[in-house]
Amino acid sequence: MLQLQQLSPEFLQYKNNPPVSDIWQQQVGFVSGSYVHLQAPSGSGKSTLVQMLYGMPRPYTGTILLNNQDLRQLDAEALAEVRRNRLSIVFQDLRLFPELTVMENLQLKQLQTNTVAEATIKEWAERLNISSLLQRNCNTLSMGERQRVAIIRALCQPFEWLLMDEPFSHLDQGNIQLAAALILDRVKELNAGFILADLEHDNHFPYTRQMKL
Amino acid sequence: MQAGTILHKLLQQGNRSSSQWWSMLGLLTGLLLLGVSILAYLNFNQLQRQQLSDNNLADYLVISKQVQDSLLTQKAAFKFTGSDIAQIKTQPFIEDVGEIRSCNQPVYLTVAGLLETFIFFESAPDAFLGEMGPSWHWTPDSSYIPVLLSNDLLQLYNFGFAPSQGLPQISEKTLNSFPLQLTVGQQKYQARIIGVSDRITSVLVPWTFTEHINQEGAFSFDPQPSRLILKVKNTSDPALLRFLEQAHYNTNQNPLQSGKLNLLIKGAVIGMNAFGLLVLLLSFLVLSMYARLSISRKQGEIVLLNELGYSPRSIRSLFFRDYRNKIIVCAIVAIAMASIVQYLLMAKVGQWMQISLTAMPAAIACSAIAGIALLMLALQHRSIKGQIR
Repeated sequence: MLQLQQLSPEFLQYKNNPPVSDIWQQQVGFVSGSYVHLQAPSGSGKSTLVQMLYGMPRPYTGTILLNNQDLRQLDAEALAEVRRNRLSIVFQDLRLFPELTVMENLQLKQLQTNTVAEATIKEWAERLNISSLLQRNCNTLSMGERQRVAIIRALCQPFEWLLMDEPFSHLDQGNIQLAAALILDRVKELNAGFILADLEHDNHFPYTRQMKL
Repeated sequence: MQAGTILHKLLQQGNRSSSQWWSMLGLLTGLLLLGVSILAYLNFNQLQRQQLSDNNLADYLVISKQVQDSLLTQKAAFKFTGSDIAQIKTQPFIEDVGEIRSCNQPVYLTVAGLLETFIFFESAPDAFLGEMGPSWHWTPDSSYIPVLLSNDLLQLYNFGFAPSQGLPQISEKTLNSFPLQLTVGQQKYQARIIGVSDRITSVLVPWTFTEHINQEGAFSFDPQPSRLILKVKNTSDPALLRFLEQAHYNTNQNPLQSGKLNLLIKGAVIGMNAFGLLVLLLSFLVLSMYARLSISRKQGEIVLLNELGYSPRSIRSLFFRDYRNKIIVCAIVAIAMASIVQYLLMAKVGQWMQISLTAMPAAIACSAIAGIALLMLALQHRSIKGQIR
């Protein structure tokens, strides 16, 4: 269960007449296994919310509870454990290590918990048409290729919630369908839920909850 | 592939390895200098102690008053008065004071068929002569007088007197086979040389014999001694040297010279120790600065690793492991080399100087190296912990 209690990021205090939001300054609860779509226009705090949910240090008031545990009360070691086993993320800016190969980037995640076999990673890369890129350094890839690497990396660990910040922004329709199918398979396999934040509404997943930020 | 390998590649990429190797070399040199200087210091002490116990020379001094022209006619001026002795006894660097008492009768020595000459003899308290054995004893009923001859006198005889007189040279072993006859006044005594000594340049007989002669003799007995034997704590003590100089006392120079030499050697060894510590400190600073720089340069990677679920502790251990390995390798090499040096000292130098050195200095030097290495590890761990939270 993921609960958001009266969340209010610092930047909201400087806005005159902020638009009504389903999230900000609301009491919201996401049950495990929910597929949540957050439609958020530019500047509404989409990336801020995703990063807050991931426990990254952002100034805000209110509380985020993951299975009744306040994320802000966790020390660095406990937060790292949460990020290894309970929360996974696809950053908007992807955040790959450019000087490492695609495989090394994926292994850095996979070897943390060893819950995904190397063969499975290769199979996922095959599904997203990047298997030929596994030994290439990430700084030689296009943004679309990097985005697919970032998606696979987020799936290389166990999680209860997958957080995605504009995960398909650099992909064409064909690759979006492939990536969405892979994500859905993995989420189902883990009985997990996800929260996808994007600019527009989409039909890439069978969402159980659609909200506006 | 292991995560550690990828992380190592990630965190070490772009780092210049040459500065690491130089700092490692400096670290090794510093540890070695430290270890070897400790070995030198302890072995030198061991050697000194052994020499002391072998000949009991270095911590005894024989002193007399300086002979000056204006004092030539004043016999008493050469004598140590009771207040002189009392003043010497109060000095903190003096452990004990003994009088060297001379015989106030002319003594005529006859070595049958070899030598006839006037000689003198003196006595010092037994406590200042070392282990003398049961033969060093005289009563009026004794069949002979035991004589202790100065090594210097034996040398003078062998290499000065004997060649000029066509006399045979005498070894220490053959000395006691010569039947000596001492004539003091009208009395004749049988005597036997029972050994040689480095401590007092004189012909020594038991205290009881000198007392007997002085009381029985024709001339009046002057109880004030002209020479004293001092047992001192340390012949290289600058306060002792200053005192002897200020009081215008002469002394046998060998122990003082060796004391000064000891002081010089110890000073050099301590200097080497300090230099070793300085090299060690500088190398450690370079290594530490290198670690700080590496961490600063990789701050972006460290933040992202943390965001991907790598705990600060695990990231710290990645950085620390690298420096830990370097310090441990340097310490092991330094310990091995210090042990080899000690082994060579024991096997070669010990054999050459006919002394038995123990392995104790190696144990202490190795412990010191290990202790310094542990201290460096602790400091490095603390420094890295301060940077990655």
